Amino acid sequence: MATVADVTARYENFLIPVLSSRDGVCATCKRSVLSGWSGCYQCGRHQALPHRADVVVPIALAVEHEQWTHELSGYKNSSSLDARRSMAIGIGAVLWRWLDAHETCVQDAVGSSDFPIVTAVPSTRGRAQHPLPHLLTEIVKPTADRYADLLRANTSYSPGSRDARPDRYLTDTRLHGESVLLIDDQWTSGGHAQSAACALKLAGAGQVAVVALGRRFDRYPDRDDYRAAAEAYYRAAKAQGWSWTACCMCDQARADLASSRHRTAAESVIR
Amino acid sequence: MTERGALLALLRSPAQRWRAVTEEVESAGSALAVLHGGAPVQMSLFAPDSTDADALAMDAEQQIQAWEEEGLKFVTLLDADYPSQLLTVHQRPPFLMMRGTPDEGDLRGVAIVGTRAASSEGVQSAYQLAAALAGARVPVVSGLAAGIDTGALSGALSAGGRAVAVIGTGLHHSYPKQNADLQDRIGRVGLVISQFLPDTPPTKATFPMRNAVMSGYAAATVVVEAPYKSGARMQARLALEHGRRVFLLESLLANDWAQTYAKRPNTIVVRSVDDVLDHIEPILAADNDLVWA
Repeated sequence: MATVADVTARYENFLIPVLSSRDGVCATCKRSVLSGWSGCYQCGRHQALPHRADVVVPIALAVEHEQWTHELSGYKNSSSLDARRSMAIGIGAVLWRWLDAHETCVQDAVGSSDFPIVTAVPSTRGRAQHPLPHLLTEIVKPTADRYADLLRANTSYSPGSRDARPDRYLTDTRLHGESVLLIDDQWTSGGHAQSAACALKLAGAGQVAVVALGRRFDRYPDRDDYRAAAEAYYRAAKAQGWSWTACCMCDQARADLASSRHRTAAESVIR
Repeated sequence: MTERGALLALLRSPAQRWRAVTEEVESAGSALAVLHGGAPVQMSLFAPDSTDADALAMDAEQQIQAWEEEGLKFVTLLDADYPSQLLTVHQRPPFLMMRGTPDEGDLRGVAIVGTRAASSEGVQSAYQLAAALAGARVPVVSGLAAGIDTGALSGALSAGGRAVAVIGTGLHHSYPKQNADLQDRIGRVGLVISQFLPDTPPTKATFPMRNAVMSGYAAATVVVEAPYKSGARMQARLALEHGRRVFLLESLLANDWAQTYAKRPNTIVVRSVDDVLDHIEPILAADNDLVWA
């Protein structure tokens, strides 16, 4: 038996937070963008979908070649069952602890009182037993009872394709306005998760919130200005440091509250 | 055509980054598939036609068999005998070369690290700590450098325990030369591991790379005596970034860096061998089921 607090302690040394919305941060997926841009190129392309997630909340940065990113692919791809299991338990513990602290932040962001349904973005690799549903049903107890296997990959798309399409995923279930918490392991371009969110909405879901364990992050893009933006973001996130009591949504709520208080104070001075 | 031959062929190709090959092969679950194209890594290399790829893989396989004839194992990250605990860290090397006897029990191993220029008290502490761990059937992992490493591995051997050396050169080298006998002995009764091809000489880059593998191979790292500028301090940092526990011997707190590290999560300051054993048992107990509290 391992407790969530014990297992998650080791992650405090390397998890890097995702920045809340501000200049230099994509308003949707929270990646780094050039100053003055409200959104990134990929999230702009997803506007072509008839529906998208109501909010996207990445838990931590998945920096290329760093430990968190390794675990988020290793729990699926490692050649050893023991290694996969060990990484799945760690990732599950992080998700459990994070949801315990911040699921309400996600609810607040979409104006929903709860998420009666939890589901996962399906693997496009056609694995017999996909590790993410296993994690959500067998390891993370707070999602186990709410989990429903709603989506399956449309095999007419090539597995490697990251394009966002309304029929990228299919479902046989009819929803009736329920709010859905859609979990993904890594958000890269967001094409898969947004396609999945779209499919859920087409099936009748109410609010759809994406929680991604990692926001894939390339510190060294080829273009100089992108690289400078990425480095500024990375430094700010490292300086902020990891905390279980903060997420990119409640940081945002605090910032909004602080600025409204500031305004009120300023207004009262003027009066 | 073998998977291991294909992996070595990929790594031998000019200007190929080993990390990229590692990620690609692990994700594809096959080095042959990567070598034969389709995967992105392939685009960046020499783009051989498939006959060339086959020839390169067969040539590499012959080389591996030649190493086997001299008693060296070549284990890739796709093989069942690659240590599973090392697969969980991002700095897992694409292969390990080994002399000696692999043992799955090593996933309970504890690394003991410290400076080459150790005090006699430091060497003594390392020796006693290793002997006590060996007495508790905990494998001792160290680097086979002079000073603390030598003390730790000698202590484990003297107590009849399991000793594993992770070295910063290829297996055809010993560094320092004075430790050639110790390396031989560990190769006979324990295990010597290298992440490099056998003829790789010692360089400035190879030792820090070795520290990453040592951290990943062990369940936890104990730092015995180490100034700011040392591979041991680097290993403490790498271990924390791997999510591994770090133990700092209390005497280390004389160093500013150790005082800073002592405040980091998953770091424990220890006074005695018993302290280490007390804090190591929970880590070594397999965490199969997760509960809230």
